[in-house]
Amino acid sequence: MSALQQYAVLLGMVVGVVGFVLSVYGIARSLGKTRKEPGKDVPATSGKLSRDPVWARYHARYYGYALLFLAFDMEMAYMYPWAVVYRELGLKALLDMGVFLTILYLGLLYGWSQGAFRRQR
Amino acid sequence: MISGARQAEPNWFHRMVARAMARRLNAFVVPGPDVARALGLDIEAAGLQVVDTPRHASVLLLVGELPEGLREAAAVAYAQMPRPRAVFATGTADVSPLPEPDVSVALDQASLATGIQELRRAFAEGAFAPEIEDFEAAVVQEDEEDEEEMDHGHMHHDHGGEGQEEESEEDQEDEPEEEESGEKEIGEDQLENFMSMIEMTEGMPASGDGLIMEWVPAPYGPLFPGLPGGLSLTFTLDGDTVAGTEVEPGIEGHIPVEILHGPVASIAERAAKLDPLTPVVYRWLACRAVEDASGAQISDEEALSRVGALERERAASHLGWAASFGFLIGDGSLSQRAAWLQLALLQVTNIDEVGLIKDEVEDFVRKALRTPFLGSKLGGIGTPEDGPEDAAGPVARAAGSEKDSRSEDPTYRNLGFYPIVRDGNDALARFRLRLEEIAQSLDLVLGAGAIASTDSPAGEASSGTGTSTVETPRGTATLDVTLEDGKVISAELDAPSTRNARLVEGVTVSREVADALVGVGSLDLSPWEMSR
Repeated sequence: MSALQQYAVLLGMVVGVVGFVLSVYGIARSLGKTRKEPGKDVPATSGKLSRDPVWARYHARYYGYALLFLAFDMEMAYMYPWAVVYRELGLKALLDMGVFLTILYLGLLYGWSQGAFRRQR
Repeated sequence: MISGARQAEPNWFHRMVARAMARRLNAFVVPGPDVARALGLDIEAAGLQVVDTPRHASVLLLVGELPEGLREAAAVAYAQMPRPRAVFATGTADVSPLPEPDVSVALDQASLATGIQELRRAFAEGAFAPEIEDFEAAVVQEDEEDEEEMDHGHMHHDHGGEGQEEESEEDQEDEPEEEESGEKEIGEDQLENFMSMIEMTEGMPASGDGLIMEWVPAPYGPLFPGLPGGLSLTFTLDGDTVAGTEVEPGIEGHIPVEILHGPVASIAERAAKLDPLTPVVYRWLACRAVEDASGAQISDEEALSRVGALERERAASHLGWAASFGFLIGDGSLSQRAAWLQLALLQVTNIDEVGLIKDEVEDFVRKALRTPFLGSKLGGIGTPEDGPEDAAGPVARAAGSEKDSRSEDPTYRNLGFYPIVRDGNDALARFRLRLEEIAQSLDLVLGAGAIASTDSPAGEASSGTGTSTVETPRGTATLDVTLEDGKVISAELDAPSTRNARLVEGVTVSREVADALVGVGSLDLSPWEMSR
């Protein structure tokens, strides 16, 4: 298949997807607008309207957990490709990972020193 | 035009969609499919698909007379249904605050089928209309206002920047004090350890494992699929674990036991309204109490036919429970087969038909008891912390107790009755025991040789006091009545679900929410009885 044919297939798929989305949207519009009525947009369960806002709001101070999560998550995200090429690159890969983990570990130590793991007195 | 038509100028496309929708109508049932089955309605056979959430329903199906609490819950469910939507009442006179039903029929299978045909026509012709009215029930509006107030409060608290422009002068005057108090709350210790989570968790409740989390109240009922229709619980969730449980005592506005007051001759009819799940039991209970007061004796044939009717209802009730419980634990085939057998048993008109159904019921029981992974699914779940002392009926007998008032009844003794007792005191033991009781009850029906519902008490009652005790499908019920000049002037009822409801906290607290629901389901509570 030539490059032009491949682009033609891609274009066909894009046109198909856009056409499908527009068709669904058109059908929904032609059935009439959704009417805003009392109680319709309020979450309900088991025949009771929600007494409290369902969107739980988290205090900004939970950012500490978010930073710690990112530190560990990035570590794992980097480790997978690293493990694939580790044998090929050898000692250089080990050193690269060592530097990376040290930087993350410093962040962990800093968080620890600032009480990031303390939840109770 | 139907009451919940969708706003649009009808054209060929709308008419085509309306006709297509009318062919497959999805119904959300109030109080629930369990009540519909107990009243002998086979909704799916009549042509409606039963769905578990109003969001997927096009029809709100009302079954029987609904107390005020259930009508309000139905209004909330109706407000959640997408248009076009319709209200279909079967044997429901008062539907307020809902709009007038689009179709209203009597409470029987033939009328249900006729009503669905009428509903299909109404849907095909009136699903779309150019001018429609909003559904503005007070129960929906009041709660929405509360919601807006709470929402506004949160916005003000959490996003001060957005709310400040709208603040009044009074609010602004208060602001410095809030800031001052805020500064006081952050101590030196917290400034030094600025990533500390102590401020987030301080003063919040601690779980059994010591972990401090935000506790969230979550309502289950009165229209929660899987639990008996009308039963209303509120779990306080600590993550996915239940930290506390609140059980509402019955259904708001359900008829009180005082409905028994009045002429003795029609007491059975009034008693049947006390619990739509077991009307025969309450007919019998009321008649026996009056007969005890008057000293009237019934013949052996009459006693046997009453036993036949009561045991047929017990078997049907246990099958109904198995259908709901099967749905709750995710066993669709168990649920469907039990529901089909329950309806078949309730439609039986003579003793020969019971004999024909018995083989199918025994086959169902055998297969249900061999359900794979049943032990690992139900074993150890639903065990109350305080033991079975307060329990009634199958819940007590599944915990090794021999409590069963039928043991003292001479008619039952002559039929060779013995109480089935199992150890375990958990959902698994209750499941097995009820299945075994289904087979036993059908044997008793065949032994009795007749089925006759009690229409009125025997003898001429004038004045006096009487007591009757009946082993209902949920446990022992006792009724005390006082008669004066052929009328009931006082009645006091002790119902088994009221006793078993006390176990709910013990079977739910410190359990994961799914196990807590299975534990509650295994108790087979009737919210109609709990109103006493």
